[in-house]
Amino acid sequence: MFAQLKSRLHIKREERCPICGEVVPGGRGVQRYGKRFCHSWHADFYHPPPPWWRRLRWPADEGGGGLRDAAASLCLGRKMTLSVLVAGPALLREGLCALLGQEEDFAVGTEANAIFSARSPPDVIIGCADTPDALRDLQARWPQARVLVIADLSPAAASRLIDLGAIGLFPLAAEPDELIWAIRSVAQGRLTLHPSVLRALVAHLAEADYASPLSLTVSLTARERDVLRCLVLGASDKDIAQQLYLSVRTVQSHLIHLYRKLGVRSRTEAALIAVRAGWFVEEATRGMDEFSNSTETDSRHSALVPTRSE
Amino acid sequence: MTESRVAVLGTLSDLHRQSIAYDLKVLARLIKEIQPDLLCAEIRRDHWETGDVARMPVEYREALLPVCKRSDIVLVPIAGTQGESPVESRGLRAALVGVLNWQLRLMQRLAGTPEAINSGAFGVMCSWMCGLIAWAGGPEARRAWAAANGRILQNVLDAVRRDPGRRVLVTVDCRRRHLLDRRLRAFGEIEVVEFHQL
Repeated sequence: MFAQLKSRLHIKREERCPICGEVVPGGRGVQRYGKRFCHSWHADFYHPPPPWWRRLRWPADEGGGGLRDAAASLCLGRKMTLSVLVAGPALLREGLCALLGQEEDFAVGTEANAIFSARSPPDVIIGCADTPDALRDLQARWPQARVLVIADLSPAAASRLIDLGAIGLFPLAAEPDELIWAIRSVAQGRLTLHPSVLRALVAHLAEADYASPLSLTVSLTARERDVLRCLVLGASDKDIAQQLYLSVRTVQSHLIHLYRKLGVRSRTEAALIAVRAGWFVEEATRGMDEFSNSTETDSRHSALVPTRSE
Repeated sequence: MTESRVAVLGTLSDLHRQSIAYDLKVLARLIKEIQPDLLCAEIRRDHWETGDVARMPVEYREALLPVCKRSDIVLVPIAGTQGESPVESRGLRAALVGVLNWQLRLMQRLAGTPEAINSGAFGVMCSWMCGLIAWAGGPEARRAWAAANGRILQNVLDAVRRDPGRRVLVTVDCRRRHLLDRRLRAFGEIEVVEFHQL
């Protein structure tokens, strides 16, 4: 430690950057533990900051010049960098490297650079939708890294990429500033979608939401249909059990099967799908009528015995 | 096929119009402790579905139904929609049936707890007395008795087959208990156990 500090303080002579081999004159460049680098991000890749330092996320740092940078410059003599791995076709990759390399706090590299390792994984992987398999491989290799995809995507493809784990989606027509902002946002784990992508996705989901129940071709058993019919009427598990003369556990088991078949997670969603599909419209209407009537009538036995709709 | 566990519990349905030394709280506590999945109760389906609680036997009205309401126990009415039509005997038969019924009621009064009513000795005595009453009542009474028993048995089987693998408690008039118990044992998908083993 002492030797490192000593070398850091006293070395002033000309050296070569161990990353790119560029000659770094004495007094220029960046020093890290006895080595001189042509760029600060080379130094950071060669001597990555310790994990606890990388985990620090202070709000004031977002715009740069915050507490962390101040602490970094005071204590460690370096700035916090955001390591970005760019994957995709060569032209896009090189263009992005050139664009992002202009940012001081970005450390941009590609797979070929071999600057990322298990000890220094990238914060953000920028991929392209043309190479989803390559993207998946990269994600598997660096599971902590956040994925941002730059491509002109159809809503279905965008939805699939989000399922695959991408948290940033930007079109090729996005502005460079927007992209840089998006990389910072993605690095913090925020789902970041370009407005055009978001608009297309919402429209697609809305369409799917209305279209899918009508074209639903799930095969429900007679008993599951009975349970769903009671569900539409707003019955509880116990009420359904009493209506169908089944045990509560059996009803719950039917409900689990129903949820799985309909692809929903709650009874409300299941009932909503059934109503939208127009399966039990009469029952639902009658249920609403019964509900409105029940506020007016005094049913002495309703607390004890459920009223049957048959 | 999944085997269902079934227990038959006798109650004093026939005496519900009279003041009897029968602690309904004990019965309610018993059901609460057993916590069956299904409670097949000897009440008429139309009474149950229309909520006509007043026409149900007192032990259902005051003990079993409130317990079912407060728990996850599901009540299944098994007495059908017709119930048991009373057969009027005349002359000597009526007198004999009256005496036997009086003796049966005396026995039931003496056995004041569900445990006593469902004990082996009481079951044997009850079985004998019921056999005598059916014999004394004549062929019509025997037919009505057999029809009611068959209906109850069929409804219990329907409930068990509809929801296999569950713990089912059948509460019937104690006069039917031994008969139903014996008939249910003939079915492979049913494991008949004592009510405290359910």
